[in-house]
Amino acid sequence: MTLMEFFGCTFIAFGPPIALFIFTIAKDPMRVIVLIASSFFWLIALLISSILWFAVVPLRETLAFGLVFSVLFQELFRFLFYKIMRLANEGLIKVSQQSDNSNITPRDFANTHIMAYVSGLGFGLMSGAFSLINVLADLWGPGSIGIHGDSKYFFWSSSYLTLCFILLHTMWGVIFFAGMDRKCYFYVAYVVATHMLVSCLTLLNQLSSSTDSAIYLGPLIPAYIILVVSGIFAFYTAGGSLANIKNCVTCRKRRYQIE
Amino acid sequence: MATSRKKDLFLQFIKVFITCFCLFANSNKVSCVGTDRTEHKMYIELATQSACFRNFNATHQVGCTSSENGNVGTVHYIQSIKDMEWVLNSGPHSPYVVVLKAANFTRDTVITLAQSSRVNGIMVINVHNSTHNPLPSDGFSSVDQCPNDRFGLYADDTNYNKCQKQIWNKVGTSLRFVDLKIPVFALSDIKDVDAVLNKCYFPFNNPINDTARDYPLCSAEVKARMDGAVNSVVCMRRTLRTTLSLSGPQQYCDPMGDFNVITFMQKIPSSSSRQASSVIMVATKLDSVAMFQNEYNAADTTVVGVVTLLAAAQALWKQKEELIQPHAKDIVFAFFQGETFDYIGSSRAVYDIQKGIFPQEYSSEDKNSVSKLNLTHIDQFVELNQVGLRDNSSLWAHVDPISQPNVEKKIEDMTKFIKTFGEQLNISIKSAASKLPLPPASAQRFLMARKDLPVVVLTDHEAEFTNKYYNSRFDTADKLGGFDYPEDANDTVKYNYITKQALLIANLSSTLARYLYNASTGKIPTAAVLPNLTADPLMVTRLLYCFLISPNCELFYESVDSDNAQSLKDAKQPFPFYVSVTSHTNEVTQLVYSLMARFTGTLIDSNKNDCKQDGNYKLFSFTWMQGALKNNSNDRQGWCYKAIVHYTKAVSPAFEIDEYDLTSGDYSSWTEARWGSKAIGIRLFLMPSPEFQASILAVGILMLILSLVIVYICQKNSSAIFSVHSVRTSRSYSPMT
Repeated sequence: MTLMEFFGCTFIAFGPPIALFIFTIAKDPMRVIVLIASSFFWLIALLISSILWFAVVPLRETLAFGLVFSVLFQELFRFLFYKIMRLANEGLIKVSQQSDNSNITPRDFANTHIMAYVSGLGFGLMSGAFSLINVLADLWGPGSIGIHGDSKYFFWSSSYLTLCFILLHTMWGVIFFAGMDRKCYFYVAYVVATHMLVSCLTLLNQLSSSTDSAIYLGPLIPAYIILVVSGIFAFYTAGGSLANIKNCVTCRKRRYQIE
Repeated sequence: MATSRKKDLFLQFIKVFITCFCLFANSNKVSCVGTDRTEHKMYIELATQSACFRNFNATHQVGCTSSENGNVGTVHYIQSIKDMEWVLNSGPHSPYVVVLKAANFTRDTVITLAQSSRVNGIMVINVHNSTHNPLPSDGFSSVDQCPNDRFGLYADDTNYNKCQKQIWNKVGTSLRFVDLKIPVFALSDIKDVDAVLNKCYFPFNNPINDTARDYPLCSAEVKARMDGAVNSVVCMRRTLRTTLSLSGPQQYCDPMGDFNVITFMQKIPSSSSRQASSVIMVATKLDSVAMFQNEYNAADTTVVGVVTLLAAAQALWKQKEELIQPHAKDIVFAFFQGETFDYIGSSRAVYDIQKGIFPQEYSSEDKNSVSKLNLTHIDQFVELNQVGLRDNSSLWAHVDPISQPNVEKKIEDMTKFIKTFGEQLNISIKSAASKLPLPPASAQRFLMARKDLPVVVLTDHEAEFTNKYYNSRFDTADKLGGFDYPEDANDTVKYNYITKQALLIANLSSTLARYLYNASTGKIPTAAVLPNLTADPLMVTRLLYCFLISPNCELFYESVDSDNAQSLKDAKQPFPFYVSVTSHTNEVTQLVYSLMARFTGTLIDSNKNDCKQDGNYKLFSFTWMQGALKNNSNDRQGWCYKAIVHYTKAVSPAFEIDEYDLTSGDYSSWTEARWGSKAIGIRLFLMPSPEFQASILAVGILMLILSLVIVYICQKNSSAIFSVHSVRTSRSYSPMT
């Protein structure tokens, strides 16, 4: 019966990322490869965090401990992925070269933000999958949550939070890579700090898990505020501006006139 | 089937995979550490496995089943007529899963509910107390009003068939033999009842002022998926069909059956043959049935008869020396299995006797088996039916009115002596009215094969059954009465306390022992032998305790081998008396076999490995059991008993005869459906309103479409939106390109 909930939640959490994937990634094999590689790096981060969690027996029941280290490992692996991307840059450019003229750098690498964006989305998709699939798998049955007094907004909240994390990872990817490139370590610090903050915010959900009202959705608000802030940050980092949007919206013709 | 398995496997894989990394579900509000899963937040799994399941005979399927993934419905607790009306007509949230009290679980109610398309399942509360959930006051029996009629002696007799002289089981509902088509469960655990009523129905569903509650409503998924369908003919054909499948043949049902336990007094090897009328047969049945899996109480239906026979055997074998003399008649104790399902055990015994393979298979040079028995060897047949709930404190001797004129003298003698020995022990035994046919009894199958067999059936009723709970889950020790244990007695005290009921049964056993002594030797027992021919009331009380109250008792521990000791330890409730399928030997059958070996055999010096038959010498059986505890130790002595106790197959000949037509109605055709390992269970959960579900779906789809549109537009205009400074070529590119 709750197949509706199942598909609803799936579309909420993975609809926007799928749209991004279809229109910006899928058509370019190099981007697909980088996406999968970055997902793989996220998985390794997860593996290492799991090992740590498993090894430190006394703190297994303490969610915060595992969470903090998980965030740190994820950021460490984002850094490693950045390093590897930069090391592999020459080779990747060669592989992507489509014309004989080696003076023309393929556009994916000419603009460093593209691969930053792709790797961010890879991180986001994999973390989103791991966040939500166990919840979705249980949704497959006939029931919904609440018989033990839990909020019925659990699935709403889970899906939106997952979406938020996927998009945040994308933003963080862009900001982090730009920060490293420009040696603006403030960018990097921002990414680690907000990642830690949003992750820790989710711990608050445990406290309010028995309120059966829309208040339950409360913790989503700060997460989305951070998403919007990070989004604007990433937008400007990648070279966007309000004026550009205005140009774009007002008249297509003028755009070409400017050029 | 295959696809669903794949799906399960896939989900299982995902679950295992995810549980490992569960910690990192940052967005998951449910604490994921440990094994706590979202599923546990969504569902309450009930402990009950007491489902009504499906059986088949040659023409019908009976019992219950659910859809493959279980039937789902809103839980509704029937407290009054108003609730029935609510469920059947007015309630807005159909389909329903109905919770019934024991008293409301009547034939009419259950069939009305099962036939309604608004009802998807039934749970009946099986925890009883006199105020909240009293027993059905008029009685309840899960079987027919005229049990086993179509396979008995009077099936084609126009004077006696269909119980026209006497309806034996007036409270019979036949619910066990109706195709209910929806799953029906008993809730026997107080925790389950509490979950259904206090965590589910009352907080969420109970209508306030006759108005239905709003969503979310508490629902139940009731699952009892049976693999077989249609009837035994179809089901067996499908099972035996040759299939090409990697996972082996798919099985849908199995024939029902088990083993009869047959014990002989005299060791007559197959090299010497028996004389005509030289064997006295004493029999009782070993099984019962009820609506639900695991809930087979059979105090009066079965246990008292079995215990009486066991105790009588123990007494009689103390006087063995006289009884094994050549001029004495041999005595055979027979425990027939599967009698409830159209006389499986006795019809097989008769079939084997007629084929000359009873009690063992014989090869041409076989000299060392038990001498074969045929019907003319039988001098008389005494059967014990229900003997616990005595009608005006007397027992009744029933005889067959059709064959009686042929053997009038013999039967008169039999009843006369039984009555006389009864009187000596203050047991009143009367003859039932001569117009009455035999009540349902194994003897009927013997009479069908030999019309002039002198038969007496002893029961506790003259006309209709005194047991109002014949073949039902209510047929327990406390309904039987006479279990006057002292208050707050612990298990050990109860085990050793001689109850009133035990005294009554012991007296009956003594009566039987003395009667058999007399019938065998022709002598009236003298004062010297009377103490030997007296049943031990302590043993009777222990047997009753072990069979009816708890199988965790010393007597059973002594009597099982070490392999079965663990399953005995794990047993939470009395062993089931349901005959079940052939592939599994019932615990009850094994225990009766061991106990008969103890009571009638001799202890020999042997160890576990040597305690077995020596090659072709099949006259004796050797039974290894744990034995009593050694002094000051937890080890057990280990006993090897040599006795003439044998298992004979209790599988309907219908499944043995080649090309047998199951629909012919000669032999029992019962089979039991198979089900998967996770096919039975109940889960409770909340069902959100359809609007809530639809809103999630709508928002999801909206978000998908919106993001597709937005991303498409952005991507088209990306070069305009992002002006890149660090360009190395003349053209500008953007992340969105």
